[in-house]
Amino acid sequence: MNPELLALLLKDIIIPEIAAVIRAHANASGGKMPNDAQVLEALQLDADRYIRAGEAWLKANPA
Amino acid sequence: MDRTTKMSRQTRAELLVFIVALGVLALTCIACPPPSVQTPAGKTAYAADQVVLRIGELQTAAIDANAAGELSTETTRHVVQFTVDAAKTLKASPDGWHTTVGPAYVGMKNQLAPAERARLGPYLGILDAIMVNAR
Repeated sequence: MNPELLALLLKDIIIPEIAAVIRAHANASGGKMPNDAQVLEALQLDADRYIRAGEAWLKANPA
Repeated sequence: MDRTTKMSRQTRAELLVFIVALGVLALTCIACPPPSVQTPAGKTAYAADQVVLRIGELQTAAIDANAAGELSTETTRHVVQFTVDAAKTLKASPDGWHTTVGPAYVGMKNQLAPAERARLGPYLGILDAIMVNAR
């Protein structure tokens, strides 16, 4: 691959995108990363959220 | 074929390979837990939660597409039923979900018509990569 093109891609697209994702995550989490208990709880909460939403839709749209 | 066109195609092909390689690299680490998660149970739960989130995105996309008249209610029912069953399995068995959810995912995907598959393409693409990596 053309080294100039690769450098341009890294500098102008890839690195800024990665930095934006890291910044967004840090802002959303207040700079704190989740611990084990929070991750275990998040799995239960997220699964429940989509189970509830899906079941509500299925109930509203029966076969 | 002139040399300029040939080189341009080669560059485009190399660029495509580079982007696909980056995408695969990103997806292989889609379920990598942050360093603050340290126990095996926590790491497993983190990975399972990432799958739940992606499945939830598929559910939302299918419901939205149905509301917009782009996905039939029957097909949406198949997709939503899959997402509900998968979320239940991931919640109950975060370390053994793949043996159940993997085949169910393939079954659900096979019921989609090509146009429906295209409509849900980005969400299915991410789940395809997750299913392959979870094997």
